[in-house]
Amino acid sequence: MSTKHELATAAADAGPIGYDDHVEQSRQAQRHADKWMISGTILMGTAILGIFGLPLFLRGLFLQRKAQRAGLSVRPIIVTLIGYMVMLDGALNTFGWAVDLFASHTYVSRIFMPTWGNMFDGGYFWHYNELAVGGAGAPGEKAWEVLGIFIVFPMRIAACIGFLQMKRWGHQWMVVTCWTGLLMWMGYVANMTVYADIRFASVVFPVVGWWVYNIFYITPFLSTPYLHTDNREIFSD
Amino acid sequence: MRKPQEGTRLVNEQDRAKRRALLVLQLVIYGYLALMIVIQLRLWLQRGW
Repeated sequence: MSTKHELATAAADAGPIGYDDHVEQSRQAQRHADKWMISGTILMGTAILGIFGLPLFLRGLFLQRKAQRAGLSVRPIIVTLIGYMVMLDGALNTFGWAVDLFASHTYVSRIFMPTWGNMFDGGYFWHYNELAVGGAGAPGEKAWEVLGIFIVFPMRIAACIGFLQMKRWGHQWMVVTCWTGLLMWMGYVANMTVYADIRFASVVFPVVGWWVYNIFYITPFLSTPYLHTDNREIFSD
Repeated sequence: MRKPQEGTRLVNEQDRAKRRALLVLQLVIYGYLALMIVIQLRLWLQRGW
């Protein structure tokens, strides 16, 4: 019995308790699980340290599931998965694109970006660091980066904080940002197709490589039908 | 005055229409993405990247 979480779940297993005790134990168990999941998501959000973040996240998910099975009132698993997936999506994109926009002459950028470009997306190889604003030289790429870094992804991260706290505004903003994410990807994929000669010529894995890598970023709007049909009453004011 | 069952029926119909609209929307979105993949694959074949 070393952790608060174990104490909370053990107490829940022990027998009937008062409502206030139940609420407090549930809150502690959720908080403990969230600490693991947030740590894991932050590490995964850096991309480079992602491999270390996944086990932490899975540990948090396991703790939440355990608390749920012990009868505590914790957040539904589907809400947890959607919330953290969107947080990870926002963090990964913000980190990668912010490095390309503001730190394109750093070693990390000069190593990882053109390597990625050489493998999957020529936009990050073709005239890299040669234009007035450094980094990727693909037509339109910088405009998407500005939109993503300053508007869409901060909105998404803020929305999922509220969403994971089961707030009504979090749910509403999650719906809004899923739509903005959808608009952004529709436009970005059109840009990739229009300038396909720059993006895919002479790369190691043209077209298929890019899609396999990016499909996980593109599809968070899969959660849109869930967000439009779930029971909103579980999200409190 | 409306009967209680009529209100339930209206809500169910609205819910069904909303689900149908979301389904159609998903088909449009994934159709668009599939179209973009097909165009890119065709360009790949044409140009021999």
